[in-house]
Amino acid sequence: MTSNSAKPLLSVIDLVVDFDTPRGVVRAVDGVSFDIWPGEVLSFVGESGCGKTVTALALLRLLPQVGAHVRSGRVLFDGVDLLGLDSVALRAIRGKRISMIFQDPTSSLNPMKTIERQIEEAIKLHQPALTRIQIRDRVVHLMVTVGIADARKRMKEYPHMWSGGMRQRAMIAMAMANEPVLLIADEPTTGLDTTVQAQVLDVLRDVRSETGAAMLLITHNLGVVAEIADRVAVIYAGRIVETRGVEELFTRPLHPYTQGLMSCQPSFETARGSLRAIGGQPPQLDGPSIGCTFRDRCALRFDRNDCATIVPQLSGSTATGGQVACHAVGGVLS
Amino acid sequence: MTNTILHKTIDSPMAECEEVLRVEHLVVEFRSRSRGEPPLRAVDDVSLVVHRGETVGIVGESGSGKSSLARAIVRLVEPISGSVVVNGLDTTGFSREKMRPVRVDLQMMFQDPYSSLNPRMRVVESIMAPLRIQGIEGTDARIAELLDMVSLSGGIARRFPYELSGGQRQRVALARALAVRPKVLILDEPVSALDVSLQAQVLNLLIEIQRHLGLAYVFISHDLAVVNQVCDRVAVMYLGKIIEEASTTSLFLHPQHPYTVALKSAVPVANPVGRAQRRRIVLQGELPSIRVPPAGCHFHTRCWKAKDRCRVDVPLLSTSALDHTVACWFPEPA
Repeated sequence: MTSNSAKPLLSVIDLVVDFDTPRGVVRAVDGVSFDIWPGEVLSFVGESGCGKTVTALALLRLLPQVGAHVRSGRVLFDGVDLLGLDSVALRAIRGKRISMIFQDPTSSLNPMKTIERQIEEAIKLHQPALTRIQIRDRVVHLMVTVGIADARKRMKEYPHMWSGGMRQRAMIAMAMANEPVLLIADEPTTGLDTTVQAQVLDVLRDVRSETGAAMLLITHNLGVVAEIADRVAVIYAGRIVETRGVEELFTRPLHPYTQGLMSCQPSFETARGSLRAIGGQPPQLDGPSIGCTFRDRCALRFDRNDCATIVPQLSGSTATGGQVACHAVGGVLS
Repeated sequence: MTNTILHKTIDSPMAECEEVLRVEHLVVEFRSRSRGEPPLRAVDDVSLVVHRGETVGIVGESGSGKSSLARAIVRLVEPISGSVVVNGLDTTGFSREKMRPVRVDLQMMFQDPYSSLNPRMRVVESIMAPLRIQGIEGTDARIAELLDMVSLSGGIARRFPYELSGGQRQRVALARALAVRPKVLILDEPVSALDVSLQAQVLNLLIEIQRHLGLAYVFISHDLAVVNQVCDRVAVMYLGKIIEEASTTSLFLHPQHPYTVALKSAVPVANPVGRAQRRRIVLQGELPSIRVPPAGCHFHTRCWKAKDRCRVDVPLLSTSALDHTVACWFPEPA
């Protein structure tokens, strides 16, 4: 981990995103702040609808034009606020310095173009000075990096001729085409078979050690987090409720939600039938949060009066800068 | 679940041994759409015995034939040969008419809680549908009992699926499958579409219901850790064949087929400590096409132990240890 370098690569400060829905305005992201340091893998973990993808889309300004509103916040990348950039300046960063991999490689690839053409396109767009041969070599190099056997031949094929795992490798190759300093991967292995997932995680690890790019890895799978992340932000109902170094998080989770997530994660170590489920369901986010949004499902439920009245903020600091947003356990850290 | 609604718990050792489902040499083929191509053999000579109160897991990657097996057992697809004996009754060659009463004993629950419920039916109508088809009277008390059994409040009965969350829908699907008091329930990826906290809730529910009703489950999943949580025995499928079967403990502690070893090692471990040193067998490539399965042992193309014999001779399932069968020429030591 390189968290001792002087300056974070990316700082998100108090990001708030609302969505218009038939039932009214839903606050999908509610004051999220975090830093990504050069070369580190930060993982967002949380369940569907917690706001992890929306946060990633918002910072690259990829949210739908209609119905989504970034109410406030700043996204500082190299000292520049991405939220304030015009589209030309933004395009120079997206796909070049920051790139993104989406969950579903099938819908992210153009079915009408060969894989080679699509990766070429990504390179040409940001490096117009390169010659055709240089670009070709670069594509082959990328294909080899992500573990495509027989790359020179296979890259002439169309996406439908490739399997899901190979398409995801192609997406990673495309994302790495211009040597970004930050790679955002949104559920990069979800929907893949376990054996293929292991392959893709290996590719991400290789890519990282070869290029030194930082990574924001979005996943709901704690196993994937434990395999690859340096630091973890646990997200619940649009808020980061705990952020810790990966080892200390798994060794000693502090937030009751994190503890709940871990105790309902099946593994080979847990005995049969011993999963402890978190009761209830995530809240609807269509009203202003009063108090802690997790309190109805919390194992330490209503321990304190504050839980019902005051929204807990990330506070405290462990040795590696970990923080937790909980009235009951926040004091442990400070 | 409250105690008042429970059926009597049957725990006598005799009842445990009662065989409720026997599948023998089942073969499922799908005809190819283009002429001249050979049919695709999705399930290839699969045999399986399930006892009362037992959960038998079927694991494998997508395309391994596990869902086709499930569908052939309940006769949603027609097997081309082999037999399915449900609660002592050989259903081979049964017409749709003759299958109908069999389905009182044999029910199925599907993966996707969004497409498996009729969007135009209220919850109560969905749950009553199997009763109506079987000519059983569905009383309000029975509906209330079923909803209670799956931990849903009675108020949900009048709702439509779109008003329910994924977890609630899956409970409704479970209540519907339980309505006719089946002896065997085929669960095809019942928690794969759910978030981890809801997944744990549904798994615990399944375990609890089984404990009280003594019914048998065939539990189909691609997730080995989930299977480890709920199953007594596990069968591993690869390209249409069962390649290893054993008690859950034996299978995961001492996997003997190289494929099972690899499959298990590919599961991400939710523990970051020592991850760099962890030994992982990453299988090369992906599942070969089932249309043209490799000769000899189907797995030899990805197997690191493959020798000449594996490329020629098909290994048959043979007992290697107590309650442990494996189809491999060079299995790992028991």
